[in-house]
Amino acid sequence: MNIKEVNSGEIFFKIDNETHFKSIFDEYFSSLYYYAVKIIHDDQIAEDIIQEIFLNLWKKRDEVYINKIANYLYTAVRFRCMNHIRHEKVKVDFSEKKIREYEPQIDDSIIMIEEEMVREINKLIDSMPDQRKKVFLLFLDGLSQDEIASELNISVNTVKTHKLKARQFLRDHLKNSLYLLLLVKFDSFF
Amino acid sequence: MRKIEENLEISKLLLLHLKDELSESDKRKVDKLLTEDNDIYLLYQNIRKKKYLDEQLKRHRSIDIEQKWLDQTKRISKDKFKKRATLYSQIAAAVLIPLLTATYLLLNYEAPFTDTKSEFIANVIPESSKPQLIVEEGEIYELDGNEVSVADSSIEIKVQGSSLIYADAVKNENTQKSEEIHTLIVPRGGEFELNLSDGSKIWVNSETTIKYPKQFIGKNRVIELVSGEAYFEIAHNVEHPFIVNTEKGMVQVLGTAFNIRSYSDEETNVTTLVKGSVCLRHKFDTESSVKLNPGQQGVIIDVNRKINVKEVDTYPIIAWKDGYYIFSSNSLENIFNQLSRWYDFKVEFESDYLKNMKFRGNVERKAGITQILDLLEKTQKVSFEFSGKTIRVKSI
Repeated sequence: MNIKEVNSGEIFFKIDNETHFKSIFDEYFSSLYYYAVKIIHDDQIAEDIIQEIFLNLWKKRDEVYINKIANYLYTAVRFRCMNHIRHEKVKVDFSEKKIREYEPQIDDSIIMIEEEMVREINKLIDSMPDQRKKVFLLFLDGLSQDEIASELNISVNTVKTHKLKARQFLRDHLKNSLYLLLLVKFDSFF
Repeated sequence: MRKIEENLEISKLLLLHLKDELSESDKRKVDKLLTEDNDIYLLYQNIRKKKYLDEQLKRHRSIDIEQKWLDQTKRISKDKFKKRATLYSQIAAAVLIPLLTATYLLLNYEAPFTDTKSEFIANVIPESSKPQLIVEEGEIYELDGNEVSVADSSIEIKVQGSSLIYADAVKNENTQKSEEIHTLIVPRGGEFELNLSDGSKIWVNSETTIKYPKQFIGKNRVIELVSGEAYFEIAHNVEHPFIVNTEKGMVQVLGTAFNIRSYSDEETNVTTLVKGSVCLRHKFDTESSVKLNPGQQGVIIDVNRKINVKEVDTYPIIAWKDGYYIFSSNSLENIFNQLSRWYDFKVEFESDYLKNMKFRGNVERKAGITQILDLLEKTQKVSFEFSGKTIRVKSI
């Protein structure tokens, strides 16, 4: 990894290969995408914006040292989203005879905070061992124990074990959430 | 509004709070946030709940990241083959995204386009035709800057530079007032200022014909903008409304400043209000009246369509009277159209795509067609070829 350390102790890195680039892409795409969608309410344009930003990041990779990737990416997305809104607002205002505003008054900060939290929690889930993660995700999709067992070609007991371990994992990590309370309640029925 | 860095910091803290991995001081920070900010409080409470969190996790995972990654790699490949971005002019003109996609049109031509730009410019500068004033008896006066005296007892008409000034003559019982109609014709390339005896001022743009009574007698002050563009500053007089008739519409005015553009070879009648208030309606439809407020523009297309009102930036529209042509987002076709009001030429476009290519800029009329052509060339988006009085617009 191409790293440069600055006097303040902060680390700046460069994207030096496609694998590195892909890992950033995989990690941030969803949160950036949903952030944009929630602001501009247009999924096609939101996707286009995110893809463009990653393209530019790739193109500039030799020139740019990045300190905080999330900061860099959200800043780029926000900028383009606000531009889009300004554009759209001008069109709408003309047809609705409203007075033009120049600064979109959108509070995107809570949207950003949420997307980042979900991203991190998802990372947590990704850090689970493969099978356990698969079981957890299939439960998330609403499949039953039996369905999961057949889907993954494992025994129902194995499914149960994985489920238990997944919860334990989450409980250990998200101590202050209420996630486990309900699970604990269901457990008493089995 | 919070900065992005702050938001990211907050999300980290909230997550750590969720994990119960906060230092005492950070915990206090978060508790403060949760107390003071309702949105953050609600978010935190929601994300602690299984149902809510599950939904969010599902939502994020519903994206097929491998597919998106494929799309990204395609995008990267496509980009590698694109031409290098063209240079943009530092000066006035800039390129905005064209709205229509190209349909390539190749024009047939006979004469080779080998004239130079200077030859073209020399060809297209209009013959110095002067504005003409036509009085009712049919007499035509050329307004070439010299004092003109029109034989008339009730009114004094003076020409001063590029202004035509009407003033009531010294009153005399014997003077018969009449609303004799005068016509002012401003040719291509010209511009004239008309001062009427009621104090109203009208700036008349190129290729414009305007008819007006030499003095206002009746209840209404009525003038006719036969074809062209004019900017009006009308003296306020509640008892005598000022009315402008155009080919398609009628504008009624109460002490105000506005611009009307109604060229007979254009499809629209565009009235832009700067100050005061006007009422605008279709010529043949008394029900269609709309009132404009300052900063608004009314567009009449035809009697079957409602008058379209929108908010505009008025300065670019009236800048012509100060000698500037401002285009905020005009197609090349539009720009050359405007140029053709000042110069005598024909234009050919190599493609529809070029016709619709948009530019933004600011030019002085004084600097002439040379400046505009130079600026357009500097954008490196278009090139020109000349033959006689015809200019052909090509892409680079």
